[in-house]
Amino acid sequence: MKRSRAGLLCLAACAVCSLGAAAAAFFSGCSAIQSAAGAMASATAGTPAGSVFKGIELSAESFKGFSPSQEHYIGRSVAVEILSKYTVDPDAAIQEYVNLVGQAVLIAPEAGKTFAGYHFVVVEGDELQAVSTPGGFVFLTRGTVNRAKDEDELASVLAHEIAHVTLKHGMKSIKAATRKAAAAQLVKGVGEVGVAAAGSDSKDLVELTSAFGNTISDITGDLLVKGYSRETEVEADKLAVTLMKSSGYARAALASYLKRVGEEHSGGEGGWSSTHPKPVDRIAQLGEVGTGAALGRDIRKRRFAQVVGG
Amino acid sequence: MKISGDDNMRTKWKRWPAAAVLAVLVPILAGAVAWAADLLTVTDRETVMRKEKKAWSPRVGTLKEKDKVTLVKREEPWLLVELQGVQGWINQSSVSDDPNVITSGTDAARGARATMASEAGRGFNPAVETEYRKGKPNLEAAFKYIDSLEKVSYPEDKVVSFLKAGKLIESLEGGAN
Repeated sequence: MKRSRAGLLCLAACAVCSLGAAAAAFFSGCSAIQSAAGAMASATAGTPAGSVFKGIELSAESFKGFSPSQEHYIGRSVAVEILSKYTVDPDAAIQEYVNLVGQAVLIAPEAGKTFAGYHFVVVEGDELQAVSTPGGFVFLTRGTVNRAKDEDELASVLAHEIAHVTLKHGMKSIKAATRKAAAAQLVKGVGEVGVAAAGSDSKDLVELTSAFGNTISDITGDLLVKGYSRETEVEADKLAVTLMKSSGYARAALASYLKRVGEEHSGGEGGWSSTHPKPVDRIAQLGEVGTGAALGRDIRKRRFAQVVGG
Repeated sequence: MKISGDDNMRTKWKRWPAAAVLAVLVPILAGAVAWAADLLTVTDRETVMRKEKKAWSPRVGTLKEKDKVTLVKREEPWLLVELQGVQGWINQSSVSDDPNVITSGTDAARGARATMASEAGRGFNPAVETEYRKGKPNLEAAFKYIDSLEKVSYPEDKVVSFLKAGKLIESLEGGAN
């Protein structure tokens, strides 16, 4: 009888678990299973069963990567590295105008939201340069703004940078070794907050800060020195024209901007040319999706001229 | 082992409580898992709930980081969510279905050493940034600029006026492009 009852209970437990897991998978995919494992780990903390669930949770954690708030803190420090190499343009009118154009592009629902919104900064310099950090800090030189012939072309530059943020290209620059070291610390932290809070935090904090520093260094290296791969830039261009369409700007503006800067930089080396693929190739990759007019372009051109000139 | 008719009846009878427990537990657990899957955590510092699936649609509420909202409907990239009886549309990239998602912890301005221990266990955050900044005194001015930049915001009515003046909403609703 005991065996029979044990069997029945075992069957019941299996049925409950299977149905629970099936429901989780049905309603929300694997992340729900991770969530359920997390919830069960909390409920069974300190028990052998708890350590099993904790194992599931920690493995998942190391795979999931960085949350929006962590991306934000990474982005802040990358932004600081960029700012240390440039001077912010003192023209308040142009700062506000570029930010409003950026906010206009962000009405596109395909634009990924960030923890603390997007911030656009015009820096001094005639060279062609625009970069974005994780978390939504976008920098562009005054020369990049001046090369645009109207608001739609300026919007295309901002849309390209918003696309890099949305597609998490900066985060993908983090080298595997750095990611592994950070994940080890982060995973450790998830399980050991209580221990750290008891006072043994300094070693963990130093190691976590070291991983943080390496993360900043990996991203900054790609942004300012190596540049992204050709495929990455093309991917950002394609999302950029989608953002343009979904925010009411002319899709063709990206290709026309690229064409102009391509003619200027043909045969040139260093700076933007060394960190971006040839504009002619980018335009070819866009193809038909990179064409399309939009209502009101002349009106926007006039307000662009009022602020930027030209 | 052979079981007599009486024994068999008794065994069946004794199985009833277990079956009853199962009948009660299964729906509850399945429901709980489904509920957990439909409960989302806000990951933006602040996000606006809108009346319609448009960025310029009127605001019906504001959500803060760590708020737990219930998913009502999914029309990607928009989600209809509910908090305290108020329903509104938000962008799916503003929430996570992971209940253990790492959030920001304390505000950077608080950044006191006293909070560092607990914060250190929760990822890259103000405490880690504070520690990082200590080793980079030459970057302090740039950090201060970023702090001030984050305080600058563009009011919704100003952005909507900008959109309207530039015929962007008209361009979208007119179906051009």
